[in-house]
Amino acid sequence: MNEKHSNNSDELLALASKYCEESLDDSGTRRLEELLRGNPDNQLVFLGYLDLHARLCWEARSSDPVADSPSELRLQEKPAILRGRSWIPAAIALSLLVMLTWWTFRIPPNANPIPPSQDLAVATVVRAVGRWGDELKTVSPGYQLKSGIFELSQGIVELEWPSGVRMILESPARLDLISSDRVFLHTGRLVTKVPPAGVGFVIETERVRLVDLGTEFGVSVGLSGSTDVQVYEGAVDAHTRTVNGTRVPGSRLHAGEAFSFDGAPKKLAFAPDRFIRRFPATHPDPKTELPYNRSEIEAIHAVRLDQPPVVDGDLREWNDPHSFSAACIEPYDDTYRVRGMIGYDDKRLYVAMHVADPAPMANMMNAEAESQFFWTGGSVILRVGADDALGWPLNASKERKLPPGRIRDPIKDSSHQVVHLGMWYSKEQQASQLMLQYGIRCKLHMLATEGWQGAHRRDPDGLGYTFEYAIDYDLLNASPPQPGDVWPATLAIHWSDEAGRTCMGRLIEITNPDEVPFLTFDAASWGKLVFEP
Amino acid sequence: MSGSTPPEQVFGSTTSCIAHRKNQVVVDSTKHQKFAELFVRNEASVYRYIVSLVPNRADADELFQQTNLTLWTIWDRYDASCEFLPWAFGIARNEIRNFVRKRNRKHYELTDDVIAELTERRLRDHELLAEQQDMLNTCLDKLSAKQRDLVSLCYGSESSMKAVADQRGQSADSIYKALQRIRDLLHNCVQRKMMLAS
Repeated sequence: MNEKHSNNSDELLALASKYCEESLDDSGTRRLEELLRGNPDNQLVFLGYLDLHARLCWEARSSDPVADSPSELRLQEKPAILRGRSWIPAAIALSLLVMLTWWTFRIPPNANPIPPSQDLAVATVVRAVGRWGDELKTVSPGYQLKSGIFELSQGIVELEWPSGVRMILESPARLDLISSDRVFLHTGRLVTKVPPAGVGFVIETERVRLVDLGTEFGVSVGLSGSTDVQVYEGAVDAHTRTVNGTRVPGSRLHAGEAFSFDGAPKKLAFAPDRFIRRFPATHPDPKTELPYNRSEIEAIHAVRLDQPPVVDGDLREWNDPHSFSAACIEPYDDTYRVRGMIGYDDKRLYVAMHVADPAPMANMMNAEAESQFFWTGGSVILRVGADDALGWPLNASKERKLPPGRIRDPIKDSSHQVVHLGMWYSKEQQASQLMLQYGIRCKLHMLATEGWQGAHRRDPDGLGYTFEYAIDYDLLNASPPQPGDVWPATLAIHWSDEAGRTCMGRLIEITNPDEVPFLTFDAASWGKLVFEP
Repeated sequence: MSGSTPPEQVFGSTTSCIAHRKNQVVVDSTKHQKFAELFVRNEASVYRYIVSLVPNRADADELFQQTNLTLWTIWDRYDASCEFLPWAFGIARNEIRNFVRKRNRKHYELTDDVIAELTERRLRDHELLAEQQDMLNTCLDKLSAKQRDLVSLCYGSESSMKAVADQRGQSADSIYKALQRIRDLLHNCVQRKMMLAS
């Protein structure tokens, strides 16, 4: 290989480092020149390294002295640019000029335009499908963000402030949460919606300071600092930034307007799809019901119990070799997972599970008033066809159109042995709940008060819960199953936000691999519950 | 004004971009404003250019100050139809030449042909280098408090590295190595981010 055009990266960096320190001797200088001469790649590496050195010089000259430094080593309190007397007239001239210049902007070598303020939680992650930081850690709903820089490397998150301000942030983004009513967007895209209580919320960028007047608007900041703003509703005041950090009187942007702030502000065509305004739905396509996991289990097994378990949420007495486990897809698999066991005897069906959940047992839904939505606050739903005679796959569907070649079975479609068992802990009632919905269409439902027992128990670390239920067969319109019986079955785990109202994600497991896509209300796509001898 | 030597040489096509209008009395305020904009927008690039040729911070600061002064002294000789950076780099280069000659600071002067190549490379890849600076923002945040202290002490101090080392009870060599590690860490961080971004 021709040495001249190879990178010689280590040697080059070592020489560049010595060059920074002025400790390069003649032979070192000549070698450095050899590596640089006629080699664009090496030149770029060298310049990048020296620019880094320049940045450290700049940072040091403009930062505060370190607290424990000896006085003779303290930094200058003012930037060196103002030290020399000969500079003063020009500096004054410059200041006057920039005061006259409307659209000039601060281009920093200086890193932090506005330092983080207090070490307080200022916003909460409400919904998230993303990773943050260099280590690409999972962003989870419920995370409290303190003041400081939040770097979203992948995905999208929805943040909420105590004032009710909501923000959808798209990656890659670098957002400085300065206080409860102020952020600085270094790079990235966001849409914020500000309720009356949040009026005055400020979003700053390198180019512009935006004061919200009760509105919904989107902001994007490119790597160069160029800022685009688009107002969907209401109005926002935009103040451009000047070289010395002062602001000049701004202009008011109204709904339907879009501007680019990079050099002179430029009006843009309003483009409704420029920003993501709503957090992507859990089910992007209702016909495919995409879950946050890949189902891998076709059948689970119910073990016959000689002794009924004590229904207290303590699973230690369950030593079931037929237990099953499932988890959401990476990177959610550590945080959102489930391990379950099913048992039976001649009187009851027993269900026991551990659910990893960062917001455990938080369900605040009023099941009587909103029986169709109890699940959104965090729940587990086991759906069964409670009779071996129903057959597997179970031909019961609420779908209007069935796949070609499949004939509808009206009896199975209306069978009340098709039962959806909704299990959750009501935070308000401080009690386990059981909702029973009958038929594939769930036309009949009841909040069960008798014929069952249930108990929930929160994990000591607050990151999950266990539960146990014992359910009479009468509630399932079923007879006690016999060993070898197969019930069509499927399982859905729902995770909520901390408020216990909004479904943040779900897992679907126990499915028929031959029936894709999975459809909750087409029982042919359900898996099996096999009763062991 | 002392030190405001007119450019002896500028790079590329910049020579033809100096408008000789010394007799002009009336200040064109619009042009002045535009020049102010360009100056502010590009001052960081000029600083980085100077440091890459004169890595000593105190010397670079002085040269930066002098270059800015010269730029403002002869601002009306700038032809707005030409690129600002080549013109500003040319002036900075002349200031550096004068400085090296007067102060006898030959030891860190690269040869003219290499400097010309580096200048050309900097102008060609200006946006890429600016992007690296953006990446550096994040990387700087990742320095530990201890590393920040060392950077502040070594980069922010007028004292020699030996004095800093004595103060910390360490050898100068160990301080140099620690600084090199910090720079390498930042360099790797920036490169990684550039790769991810691409």
